[in-house]
Amino acid sequence: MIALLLILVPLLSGLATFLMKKEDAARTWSLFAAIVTFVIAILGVAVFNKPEHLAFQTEWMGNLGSSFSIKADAMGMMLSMLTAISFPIIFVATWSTSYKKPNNFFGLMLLSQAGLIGVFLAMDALLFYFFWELALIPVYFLCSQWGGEKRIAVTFKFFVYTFLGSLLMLVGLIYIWSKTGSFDIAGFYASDLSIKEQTWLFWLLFVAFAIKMPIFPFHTWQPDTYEQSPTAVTMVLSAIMVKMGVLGLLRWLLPMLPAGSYIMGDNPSTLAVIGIIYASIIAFKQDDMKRLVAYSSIAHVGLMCLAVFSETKSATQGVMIQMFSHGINILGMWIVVEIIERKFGTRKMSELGGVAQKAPALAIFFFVIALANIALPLTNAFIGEFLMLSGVLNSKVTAFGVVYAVIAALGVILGAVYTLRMARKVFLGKTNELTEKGTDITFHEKAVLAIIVGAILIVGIYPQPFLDMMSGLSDSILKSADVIHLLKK
Amino acid sequence: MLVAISSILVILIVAYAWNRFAKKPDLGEATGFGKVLENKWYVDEFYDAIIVNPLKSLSRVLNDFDTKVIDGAVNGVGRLVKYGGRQFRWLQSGQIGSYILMMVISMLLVFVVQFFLRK
Repeated sequence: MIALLLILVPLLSGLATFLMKKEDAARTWSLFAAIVTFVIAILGVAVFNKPEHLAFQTEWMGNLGSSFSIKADAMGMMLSMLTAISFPIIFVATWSTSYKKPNNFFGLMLLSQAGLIGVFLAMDALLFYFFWELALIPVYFLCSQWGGEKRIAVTFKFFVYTFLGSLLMLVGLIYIWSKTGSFDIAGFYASDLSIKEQTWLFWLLFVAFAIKMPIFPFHTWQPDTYEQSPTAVTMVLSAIMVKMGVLGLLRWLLPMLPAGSYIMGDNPSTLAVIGIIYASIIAFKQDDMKRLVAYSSIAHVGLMCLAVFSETKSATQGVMIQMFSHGINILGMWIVVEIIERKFGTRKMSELGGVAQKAPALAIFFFVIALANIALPLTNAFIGEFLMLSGVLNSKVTAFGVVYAVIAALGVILGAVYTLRMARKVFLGKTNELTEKGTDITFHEKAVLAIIVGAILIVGIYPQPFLDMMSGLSDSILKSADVIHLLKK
Repeated sequence: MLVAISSILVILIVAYAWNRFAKKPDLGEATGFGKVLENKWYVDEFYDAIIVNPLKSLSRVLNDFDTKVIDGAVNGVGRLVKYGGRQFRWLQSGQIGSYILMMVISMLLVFVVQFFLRK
């Protein structure tokens, strides 16, 4: 029941938001709805040991072999929690930003939340595809209506890009359905496809997930879209939506096509490693803060993809923790960018400087978030990246584990280079004409940043409960993905 | 013994330094080894030359590669579709005669293809 509510509350309240004509009403109502969803997610975590509350199944399209089947396992629960905590934070952090036609804006935001949670909970392939598109379509309208100058061209590219991936995935899912006769995930896991079928199905699904994450060379929609979207939408895209791709790899690709993943696994790993270095180096040159964070995100997600295909327990747990941590950290980054843009009217680092003198509280929060972006010990990203790198190093499914791990670890160093460069250019140094008039952040901005920093430190200092939560699921994913024991027989 | 020697040396150097700099604190232009020390062994310059500057130029190159080659390929696909659409539009001329001609040509093509593909 809780799983169903997690989808229904944002869906229905989103539809209701469209009817509200007053800006304040729409804004307050959507924040209220987001908080209610958050409370439901907390309840979900509280009853996590009683799975019967977290699953829901009903008849949907019986003659197609598809049912409305949702379940919150550890990964689904955690990502729903991330979505549920992100939306109130996003609404509060962008409280002072005004939008034209606010009812449509907030309504579409809540619809995308429903779609995202649906993707994370769906246990039926057709339902998964359905929610996958439900999450995409509101975001298309959000970017194209409220975006920057070049929004139409950029959004069109984003849509065609991701929709192409979705359709490839749909073809793959329908092919497997034609073999098993049902869209149920358990049937898909037991589909027993031949190695040849698995190999090309692997590419159909991988390309869809790679575009969403994004993995080099399918990433070019991302910096443009992040740059042109309103920041609230960029937050949704980067903090939550990219996790759809990683979840797709872990829940759908790896256990469903174990032989395909084993045979082809080195290809995505190589692309991911190239992407880590490539994106980190490009991030170094960016002047627009949004583009810098966008490239930094490509590097971080590349490491997650690499870890997924290393098929070790520590890497899998690391990916799950890192999905949550990356969401929190990048959300913090965007909030800082949003505040700076609202204060000074620019995101260009060359035009900023010395902000720390005028806004010390903002600077303190930013530096904690920046250190988490680099993955320093005591921050949440360190736990995830350490587990992932050690998993990649000990991987048994690839011969290049050590090479991958060494190159990926270079990405951490480059991460420090570009993040600290941004910190120096924006916050340190002398103030200029523009930043001289700056003021410090307000109470509600402090409050949301404090929540982010709190989450960074809690997961960074005591990650054990989260690791325990993910342990069982990691085992079962790796068990279904394991082909080495089959080869040994 | 060692302790004594080093202590004496330290005291001597302190005395020399006091003597030399307490009276005349302004230093002249450093020369020779002093200049190397003044520039911190040129460590910063060394790092600039072998790491920072290459990284900067690599970053520029890759950024151009990303926007021109990779993104260019993506946008190129879009442009190709647009261009193709513009060209194929002429086929829809509204003249029944040309439609029938195309039908005949396609039927012939199907026959030819079928002829060659027959097992």
